[in-house]
Amino acid sequence: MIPKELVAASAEALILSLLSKGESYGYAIIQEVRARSENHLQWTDGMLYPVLHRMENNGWIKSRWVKMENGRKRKYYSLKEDGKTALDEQRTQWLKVHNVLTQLWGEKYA
Amino acid sequence: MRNLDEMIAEWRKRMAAGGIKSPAVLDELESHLREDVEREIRADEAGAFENAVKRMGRSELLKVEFAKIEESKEKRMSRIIGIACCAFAALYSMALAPALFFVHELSARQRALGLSAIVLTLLALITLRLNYKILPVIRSRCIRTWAVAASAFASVGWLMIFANLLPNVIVPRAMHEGASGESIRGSVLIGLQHAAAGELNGVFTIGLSLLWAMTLAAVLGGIAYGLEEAGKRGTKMDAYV
Repeated sequence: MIPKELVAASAEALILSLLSKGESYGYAIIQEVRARSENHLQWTDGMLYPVLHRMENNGWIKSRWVKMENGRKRKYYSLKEDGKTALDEQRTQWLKVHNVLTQLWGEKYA
Repeated sequence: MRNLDEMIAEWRKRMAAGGIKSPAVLDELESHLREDVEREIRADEAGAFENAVKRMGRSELLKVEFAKIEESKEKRMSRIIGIACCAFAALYSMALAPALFFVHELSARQRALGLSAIVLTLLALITLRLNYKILPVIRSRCIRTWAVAASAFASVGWLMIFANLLPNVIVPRAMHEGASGESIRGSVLIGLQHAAAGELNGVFTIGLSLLWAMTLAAVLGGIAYGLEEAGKRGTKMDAYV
C-alpha cells in the first residue's frame, strides 16, 4: 500500500489526468484510480471531495449536477483551460522526479 | 430501500454534527455513499452501508479538509482586495501626475515629493507579482490568513480614513484659517489651476498628501498579495521536501 502522504501529493495530478480523458464524478474517479493502481493507491473516499472542491476554486475544473435515470443526482467534474495548464506543469514535475529516480535505480540495477 | 434512506438520513445528521454542514457537500457525499452501497448491497444491506461509511472517512477529518477550502476563499478575497487597492491607488496617482509636470508654480521640492510618491505607487503595482521574493514566508496557515487579511483591510481602511481626513483635517489645515474647504475640494477635483494664487501652496499640499496616501494604500495592498504568494510558494515547496 502506498503511504497516505504520497497519495495526497499525487492526488491533483491523478485527478487532472483522469479528467483530461473526459468528465467524471467522485465515485468513478476513486474506482478508476483504485483499479489502475491495482488497489495500491487508495484514498479515504471522503478526502477526494475537498481536493475536487479546492481544484474547482482554483479554476482548474468545473462541475455540474446531472440527474440520473433512477432519479438520483451525480456531480460531474470536467477540466477547464487552466486545468490543462496545471496538468502540463504537474506532468513536467512528476516526470522530472520519475526521471531522476529511474536514472538512479538504473545505475544500481543495471 | 426505506431502511437505507433512514440510515443515510442518520449519517447526514452525524456528518452535520461533526462539522460538515453544507447541504451541497452532503448531497455530493451522499451520492457517493449510495453508489458505494449499491455495489456491496448484494451481500447485506446493513453491512454494505457500514463499510461504505467507513470508506467515506470520519467527519472530523473531512471537516478539516473542507475548512482549508473556506480559508483559501477568504485569502483569495484578501488578495483581490489588495490588488484592487493597489490598482486604484496607481490609477488615481496617474490621474494627478500631469499636474506635477504642467503646474509651473510647484517648487522643486514639491515636484520631487510628488514624483517619488507616484513612482513608489507604480512600483508597488508593477512588482505585485514579484514582491513575494522579499516578503517573509509565514508557514502557519492561520497566521498567514490573518496577516494577509490585515494588510488588505488596512489598505481599504486607510483609504476610508483618508477620505474622512481630507475634507475634515487636511484641507482646513492646508488652507490655513478662513479658507473655504468646499472651494478647495472643488479645486482639487476640477484642476489645480482653478485655485486662487494665494491658495496654491495649500492645494499643492493637499495634492501631495493625496499622492502619498495612495502610495501607502498601494504598498499595503501589495503586501497583502505578496504575503499570500510567498506563503503559497514557500509551503508548496515544503510538500515535496
